[in-house]
Amino acid sequence: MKYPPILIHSFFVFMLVSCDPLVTEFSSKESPKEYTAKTLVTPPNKDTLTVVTWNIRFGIGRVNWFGDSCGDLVLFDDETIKNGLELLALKIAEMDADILLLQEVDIDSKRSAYIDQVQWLLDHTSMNYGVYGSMWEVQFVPSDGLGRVNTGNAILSKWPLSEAERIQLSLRGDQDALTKAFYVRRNVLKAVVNYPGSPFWAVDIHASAFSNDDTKQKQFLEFKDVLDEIDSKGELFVAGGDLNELPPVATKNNYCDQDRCPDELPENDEGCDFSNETTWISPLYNTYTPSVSLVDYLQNENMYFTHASTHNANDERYQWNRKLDYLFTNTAWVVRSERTHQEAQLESDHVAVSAKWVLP
Amino acid sequence: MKQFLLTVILLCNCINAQSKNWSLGTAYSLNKGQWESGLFQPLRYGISDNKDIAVHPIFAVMIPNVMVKQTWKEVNNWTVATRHSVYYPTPLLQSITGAGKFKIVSSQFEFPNLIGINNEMLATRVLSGGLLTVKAGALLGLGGRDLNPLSSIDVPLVYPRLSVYYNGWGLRFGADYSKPLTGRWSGFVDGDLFLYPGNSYGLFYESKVLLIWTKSNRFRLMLGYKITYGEYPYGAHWQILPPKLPTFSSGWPLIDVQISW
Repeated sequence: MKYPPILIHSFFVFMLVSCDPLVTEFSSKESPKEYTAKTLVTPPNKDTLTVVTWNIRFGIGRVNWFGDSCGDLVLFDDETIKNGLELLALKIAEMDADILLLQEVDIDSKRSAYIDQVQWLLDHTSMNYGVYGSMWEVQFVPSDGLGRVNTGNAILSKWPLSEAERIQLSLRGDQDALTKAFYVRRNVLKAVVNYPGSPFWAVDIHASAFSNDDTKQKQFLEFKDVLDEIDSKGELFVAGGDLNELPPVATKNNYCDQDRCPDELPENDEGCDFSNETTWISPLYNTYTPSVSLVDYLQNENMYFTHASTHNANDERYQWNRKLDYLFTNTAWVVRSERTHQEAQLESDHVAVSAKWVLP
Repeated sequence: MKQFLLTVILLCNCINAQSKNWSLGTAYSLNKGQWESGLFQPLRYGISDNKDIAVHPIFAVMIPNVMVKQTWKEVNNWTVATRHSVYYPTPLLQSITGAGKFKIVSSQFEFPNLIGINNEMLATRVLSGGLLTVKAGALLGLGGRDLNPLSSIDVPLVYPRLSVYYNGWGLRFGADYSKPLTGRWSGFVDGDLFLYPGNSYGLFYESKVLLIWTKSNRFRLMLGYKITYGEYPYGAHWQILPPKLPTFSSGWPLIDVQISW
């Protein structure tokens, strides 16, 4: 009769170690999920690559989603999401993208019919390889019927990727403990693109959208630290993403009146007043080469806007009204090669930004 | 002497195992006039020596429910019972539908009047000093014909129990085994299988392991874990419950107490 104490002891050990998380809390650095297309496409033999950054809004296009555009809709069915992904794939082909830096890509979310969008895009474009770093992996979000969510950043490439790493960014500092526990955990995703004979880094970021404190400033500095480390080793990078920040010279800095939903009060405004943030991405501009210089930007701001306040085509706020998406490199972009693809009105609430980059 | 003591212990264990206390999952009914309840278990009352009635008092307002168990007779050392329950989950589902924190179902959806009916057969016998119960049942979900599949709550424990309203019917099979271990400690293991024929996500399994500390025949404390497997809309998934909560360094066990009077 000696087995019962052993059983009881084993039971308590089991209790302490058997813990599946409700919310995934990431370590400061970890390996992202790796992907390969079902069918590999031979990469083109060219030395001028098209680099694209695009927040794809998990394939729902310009629908009025509850989370960011005063909408009522929360969940979407398989057909709606696949239609959205088809639009994205068509545009990716049209841009002839070689490196894609994507944000808001879902791989296992109820809101997007649990479609693995990284795999879907690889299988429906000429991209061959991908890495994915989650920014929000929760088995069940107990709010608004959102349910299971896994969304994040992805890098897609025609050439193999290696040394991929997900780097945790600072969490929002302006939330209560419960909200913070279940909330988004932003990251920088980086990987080496193994272009034959000339490997280089691709670095992808999606910074905080709705923080009212200095969270974004911390995240930009952390992003720059990643770029500085690559640069200090004499290696090359193309970097970009949705910084949720205006250019340092932007003439308009407050979008709260445009962004506020009819039933919201000004005291509840989040992430729409950039007036205290005008210098936050200056270190990036001062150190690295943007695809659009501030001089060019100021010559015609409207041409470079990448985001809109609302998605109702009858609303005057439907038009793109601010720039939030950027590309940087530690070498140089092909002069005047930058395109802000504002013609893509329906694919996302963000505009794809592309630029051509010549391999040294 | 040792053999004598062992015989006495085993005999006591068998007597304890056959007690009508703590017989919720078995074919035994409470004695007439006896009450029993627990934190996560229903309030039961013995209507007669072979029939008891149970309701989940905490959930009664949001999910009006009632369960009746009738113990029939003993066949080849198996005590046989049938258990019949009715649930009306609509008020709860409507209360958790909407916008904002703690709303589990999107405001895109509405729930009609839903009624769940479970009919089960249970058989219990003494086996190796413990109690073995096997059970099989048919589940009926009425009123869910127009439910939008997107309105499902895709989490373990909940999804298998609401699937009956989306599928219309289902089957449930299970087995429990409880056995005294040492002193006041006993163990409990069970397994339940939910099947929803014709549904793309139609197989679910749940197993519970509990360590039970019995203070008296009026109070006991249970600690344990539940492991679940299921085919959910997002794929096959294993889950240990309770899950690890954010900011806590390790998981907490299921904790329950039962009282009888």
